[in-house]
Amino acid sequence: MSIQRCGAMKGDPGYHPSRSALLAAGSLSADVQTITVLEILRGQGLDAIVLKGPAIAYWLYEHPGERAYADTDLLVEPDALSQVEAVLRSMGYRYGSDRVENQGDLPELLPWVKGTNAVDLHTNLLGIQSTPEHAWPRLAADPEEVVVAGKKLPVLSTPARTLHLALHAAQHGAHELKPLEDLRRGIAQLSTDTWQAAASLAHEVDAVGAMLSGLTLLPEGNRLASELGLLARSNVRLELARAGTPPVSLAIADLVDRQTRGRRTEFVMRKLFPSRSFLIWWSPLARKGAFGMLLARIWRVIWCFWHLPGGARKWLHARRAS
Amino acid sequence: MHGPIWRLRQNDLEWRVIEDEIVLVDLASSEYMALNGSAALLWKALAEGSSEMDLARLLSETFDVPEEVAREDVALFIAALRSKRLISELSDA
Repeated sequence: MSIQRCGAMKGDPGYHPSRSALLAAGSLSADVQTITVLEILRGQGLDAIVLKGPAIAYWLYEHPGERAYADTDLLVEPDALSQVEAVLRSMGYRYGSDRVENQGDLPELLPWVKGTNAVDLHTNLLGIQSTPEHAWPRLAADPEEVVVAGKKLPVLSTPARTLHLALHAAQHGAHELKPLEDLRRGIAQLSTDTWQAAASLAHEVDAVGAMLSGLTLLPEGNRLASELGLLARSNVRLELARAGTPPVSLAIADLVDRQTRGRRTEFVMRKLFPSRSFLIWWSPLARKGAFGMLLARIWRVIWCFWHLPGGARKWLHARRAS
Repeated sequence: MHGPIWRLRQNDLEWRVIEDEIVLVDLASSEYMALNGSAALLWKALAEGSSEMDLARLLSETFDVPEEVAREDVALFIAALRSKRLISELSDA
């Protein structure tokens, strides 16, 4: 992307765009990519919902340029994932799992790259414990729109976007400033009714723990969580999230949170035998054909049991501290 | 007589205000531009629609330059934007 520099006066001194201006140009470039991808997906009869980026910048910031972003995040229907991936492949994108390695347990995020452009496909929001198939109709209900360059981009409903503010903050923790600033603005600008609707949605998709983890990263979020009645729940997950605990400990907390044997069994099976897309992200082995996929499945089970004792110890420690 | 009113193109154009700068992308040409303070001032006025005369007055008052010099600068700026099809004429005032 090259940027032409322009002044209006002959006497203007040499102009070099500021760093903020260059970041804003990057955001515009991401918008162009988002518009292009969505138009092609629509042409194929495929739906996608824009997450983060313009969905937040045009919502909570007076000037969208105040919130920079560099890539496109799309929530897609789980059943349509392979079709969406095929479209991206036909557009010259390739699966770019290296980009998110070492970022923790990200089963719902599938990164695709084309040069310096990136499209992250999501089949669920990180922090939601129910399956993508259960969450999708609830997250995709009543989508709204933002207008960028005269084009309408679909975004989540206000309650779903509000929930996502807390989940995104929880995902990145106390040291990532941008999601915290988004959350701070969301708490300041959105009504308690909106947050209540977000909390109801969190109950529906099994994301109350992660919502609480996000909210309590800010003092005003702590007050809001109390107002919403979320703090009455066990704070084991909160202790774990604050400690930057490995995914297995959080998975144990999630398991314990489940009320019925059936839901616990379903959860364990999903962790031990995750989707093909997850394995492709999770293990390089799974990217090496059918035999590699088989090895990755075996390695996943071994990995889970290998990390179970350490995860359980940390979970017990967090439970005592909570 | 203020001449024609110019206004930014209404479609395929997105821009961001960054303090006193503006960054824009023209989706039709895939061109990116960064505007400094003087250009950003005029751009914002063009978003509402403005004549060259009014733009020159705005530039002259804001940057304390003689109005005659400002008129020349505005004419060049308008010509540059027209050549890129970033603005269109609304009507004769």
